[in-house]
Amino acid sequence: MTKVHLSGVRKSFGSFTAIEHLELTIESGEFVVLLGPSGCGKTTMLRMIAGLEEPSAGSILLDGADVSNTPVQERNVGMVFQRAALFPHMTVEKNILFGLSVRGRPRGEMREKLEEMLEIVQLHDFRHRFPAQLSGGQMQRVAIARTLITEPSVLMMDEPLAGLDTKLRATMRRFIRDVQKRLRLTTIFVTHDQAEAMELADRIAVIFDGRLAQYAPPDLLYKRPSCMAVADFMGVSNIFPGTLVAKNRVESAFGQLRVDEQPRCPLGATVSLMLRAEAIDLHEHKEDTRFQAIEGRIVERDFLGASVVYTLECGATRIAVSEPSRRLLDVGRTVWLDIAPESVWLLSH
Amino acid sequence: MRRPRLTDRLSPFQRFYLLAMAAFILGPFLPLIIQSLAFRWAWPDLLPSEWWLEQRERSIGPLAWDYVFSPYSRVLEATVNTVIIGAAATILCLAICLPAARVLARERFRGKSAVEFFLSLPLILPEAAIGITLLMVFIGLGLAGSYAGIIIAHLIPTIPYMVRTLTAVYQGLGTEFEEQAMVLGASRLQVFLRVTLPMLMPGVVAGALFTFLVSTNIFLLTFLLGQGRIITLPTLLFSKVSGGTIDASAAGITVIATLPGIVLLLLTERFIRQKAFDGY
Ligand SMILES: Nc1ncnc2c1ncn2[C@@H]1O[C@H](COP(=O)(O)OP(=O)(O)O)[C@@H](O)[C@H]1O
Ligand SMILES: [Mg+2]
Repeated sequence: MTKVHLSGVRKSFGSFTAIEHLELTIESGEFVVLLGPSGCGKTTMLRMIAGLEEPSAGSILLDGADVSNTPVQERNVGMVFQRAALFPHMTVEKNILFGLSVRGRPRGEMREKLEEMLEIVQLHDFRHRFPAQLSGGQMQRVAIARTLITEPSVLMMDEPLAGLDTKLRATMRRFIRDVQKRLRLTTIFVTHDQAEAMELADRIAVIFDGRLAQYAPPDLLYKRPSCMAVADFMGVSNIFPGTLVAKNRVESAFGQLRVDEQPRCPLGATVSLMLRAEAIDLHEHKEDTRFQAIEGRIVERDFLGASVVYTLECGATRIAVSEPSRRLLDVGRTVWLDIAPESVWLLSH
Repeated sequence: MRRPRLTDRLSPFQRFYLLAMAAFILGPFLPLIIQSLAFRWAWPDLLPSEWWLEQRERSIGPLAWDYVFSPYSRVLEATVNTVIIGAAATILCLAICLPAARVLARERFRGKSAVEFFLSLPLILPEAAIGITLLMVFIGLGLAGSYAGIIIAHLIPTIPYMVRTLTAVYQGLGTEFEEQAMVLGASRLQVFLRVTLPMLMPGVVAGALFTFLVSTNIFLLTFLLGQGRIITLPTLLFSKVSGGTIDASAAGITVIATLPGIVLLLLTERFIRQKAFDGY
């Protein structure tokens, strides 16, 4: 259980700046996901925390102690690499024991901890196999066990599930989350998949081009993105231009919409209205609407199993609405959209 | 892991082909072995008219294999020298080439292509030119006629091959294994001994085998720098056949000269086949 603090960290490779002045705190026992598109600098951040890369400026603190000059071997952080990086010439057992063996720990202790780890990752039957004889999910579990056995102060994982198929990813996510909760490990998990980030994280750090764009719990990030780029990356489907005409009113393509009071935006400001597809209710009769009713015609219907996504035409604009697939409305129908003021999020420019 | 398909039977053509290959490679050794057992074998006889064993009792001095195994032939001395020089050259060559290959495979630096060119220079220069140049230098340094001088000389034609082989295996070895080992707490030496070296082992074995075989076959450099004081199997053999005739004892020494390579190949073949390399 260790608190990680990156203070004013910058990293340049030659003339290229990969990380710009990063301030980030990961509380002890917290599960933080670094989320961002490929090439935004996620791996570089992990490598700096691990000590594989030296920051060009700033410092890295573990529980308040500056470790910038501590060599990799002595930082006692755990890192699971993208492609597991199991030692191919060692069996599963030898791989898991590596960290203790290089520390020269007594045999008895190694045996005991090995059994404990095999229990956690459920790999008893595979202990004498070589990595080439394991599936992708098993390899990642060995890699995790190999890291956990050293009792790292921080567990870092760099896109550990990238190569796995959808179903296995779901199982592995649950496994990682369970282990993290059980051991109450400070964890930094890297991914470019926003769904994965939301499922796992206590807090998500969204990173674009080496800058921290937003650092918030998943629900807040989803409902209240700090900027267009974050909203876009989180997969928000409806974003429209508008003007704030009163403290709680926006003029938009749908006419005037009531919104929650916007203390951050000055009157007359141009804003972007963000409407999440599942926050809009559809009604067959205007009388059933509770907040503000907008007429629309269904032009497209995408059935996704549990939910269904409609594309509606409201005058000249199109808007996506998603609802549970309990009922299905036909394409061509005219319906009423109901928009609650608190579900409208404004992004100022 | 792809494994070769196991077929129960080879087709007659495949069998003929393998036999023909074996005959082509091993064929020339047959007359050599017969010669080593002969007392008189004159053209155009298919087999010797008189055999060594028939003449053994009558002869005053040792004949053929008796001579080869007698102290007069100096075969034992030459064999020991050959193996010592070969082993030392191989170990030194590895020690020099491992760090060099690591840099060549992983780093980009100015002058890299020049370094690569200089490393292949010994392949282009005539062996005699290298030998004579070294001789001039080594006489000055007092290294001529010494083991050290010969071993250093043997490094020159072997380093280019070793560097190439090891660079190729280093290129195939991503940095993540070594980095992972460091994060897990391994010191630099532990990383090298427990991760890097075992993972490079196929290349190291191939390079070492090649270096040893080349070293045990070098004649000219050994001849020039040994100054007659140090003999190896190739120089001994040359002195035996330089008269123009190949008698039974020369043939016997030739057979002995093939042994270090064959023994080494058999040893390493078992090693390469070990289960530990299932992962590759
Ligand atoms: N050793 C390096 N030398 C030069 N550029 C690098 C190096 N490592 C990373 N970069 C660059 O830094 C940026 C961030 O890389 P990385 O941290 O790997 O991104 P991510 O893991 O988010 O995909 C990329 O543009 C990459 O090309
Ligand atoms: Mg990466």
